[in-house]
Amino acid sequence: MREVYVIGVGMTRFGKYPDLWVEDLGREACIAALKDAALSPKEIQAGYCGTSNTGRITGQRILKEVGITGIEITNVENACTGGSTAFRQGYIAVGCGLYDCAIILGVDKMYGSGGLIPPNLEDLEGILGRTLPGRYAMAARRHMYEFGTTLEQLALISVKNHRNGVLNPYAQFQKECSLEEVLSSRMVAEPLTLLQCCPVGDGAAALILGSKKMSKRNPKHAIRIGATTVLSGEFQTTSTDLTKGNQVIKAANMAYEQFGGGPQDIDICELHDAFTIGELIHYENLGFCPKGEGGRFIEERKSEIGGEVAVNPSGGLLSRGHPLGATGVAQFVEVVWQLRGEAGKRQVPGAKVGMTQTVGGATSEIGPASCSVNILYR
Amino acid sequence: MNQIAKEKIPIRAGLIRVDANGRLILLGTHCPRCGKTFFPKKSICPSCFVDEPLEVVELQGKGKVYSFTIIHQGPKGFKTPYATLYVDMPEGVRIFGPGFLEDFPKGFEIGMEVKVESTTLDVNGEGIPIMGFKFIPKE
Repeated sequence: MREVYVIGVGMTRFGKYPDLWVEDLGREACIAALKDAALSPKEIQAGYCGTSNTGRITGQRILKEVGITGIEITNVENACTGGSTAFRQGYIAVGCGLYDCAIILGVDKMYGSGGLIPPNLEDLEGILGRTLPGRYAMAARRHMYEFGTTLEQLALISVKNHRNGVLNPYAQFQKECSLEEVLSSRMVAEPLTLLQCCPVGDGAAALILGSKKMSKRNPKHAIRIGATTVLSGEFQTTSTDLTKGNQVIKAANMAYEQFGGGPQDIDICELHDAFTIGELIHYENLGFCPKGEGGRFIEERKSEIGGEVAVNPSGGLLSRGHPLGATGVAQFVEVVWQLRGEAGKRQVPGAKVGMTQTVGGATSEIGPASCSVNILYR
Repeated sequence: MNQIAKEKIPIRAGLIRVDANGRLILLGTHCPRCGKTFFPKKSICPSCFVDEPLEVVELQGKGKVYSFTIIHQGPKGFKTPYATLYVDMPEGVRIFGPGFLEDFPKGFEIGMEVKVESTTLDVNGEGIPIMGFKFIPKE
């Protein structure tokens, strides 16, 4: 694989947009990314669109609005990992030399879908009453049982991410909340309260990937891709260990190996905090702290901006919001802004290496159906 | 007015059966090569991937709670609050199922012993009775 760079980024503010079409959201993100890269639409040679909830041929419907037509366009559905998977596809295409320049788009509209993501009817656990917050809640309960993790430690993750979201003009929620407010908000699935669950919302994000030749047009602007991975869940009838993500651990190890580094090298990480317990377990999965010590890691403020690794400086899914297909791409947008030093009030000083991580599609027997861990650096 | 008795549809073909005493039995498959038991049943062993028929086995239907939650915001067809549980069975499978609060007057606990029992589900609130299973305390 040859070197691949992110040479342009853009996104909409995430939120509830009942009056906007998917095309409106996608167009705004694509135009912002094209302008950021100072590219004409005619220079884009391929497009990859991650989405779950927006009907067929979403990529073509959006890209034709910005003058990107008559090229290879691929639509990717991979639940919460859709955007990251689209990125991986674009990386492969540019990395192997097939194209010099590709656009990656993530978009979704969740508002109006009722709050809970419905199960596939073929999914036995779904029919028997499993909800996604419920699955994470069972993980939380087991983590508390095995490692003594506390309700307060879980709630602190929500407090941190909401505090970060206040500093992010693209976040759906830009409002702080106290520990007491998190703990006393409405119960969704015990022990997870409403403020420990990501909101329902809409939005889009876009990236332009380029070869080294393309990156030289504006070298200070370009951020190098150090590692990309996408993995499916592994069959596990007998050992659905809810307190860890086997595939996330595997993907993280693959990413560290590709990059030639380890968890200690990561300055910022945008990870999958669809629920507070998710972020806590991912501290452990990604190697930021030993197994079972995620609660202490947040309590000792090691994941704050200014801590050992700034986790979800954007506000994460909890505060920036979680339009499924858009999430993975929005994580890259945030990491690129951070590594360029363009993240405004939430800037992590001196950030040089950033990670993104998504996981999604809870499915009987394989747990999360997909996950992705990636590293960017300058 | 004609009262047409609605026949309960099993949640999935070949997943459960009801014996002569009305007791619900979970059906799994067992791979004679690797010795693993699967629930729900498999047509081929996902571990060995050898094209040999697997044995259908009846699970004992009893096990220990691995984890649980009480759900306050649920899908259509489920009256909240209700619980969901992962239960470790002696056959080596961890099975997911609902538990209803009225069946658990003493509440839920990790490690407590439970057993399966038949229940009628209304999947997605469509009014079609589905024969499924739930967990209840063992004693």
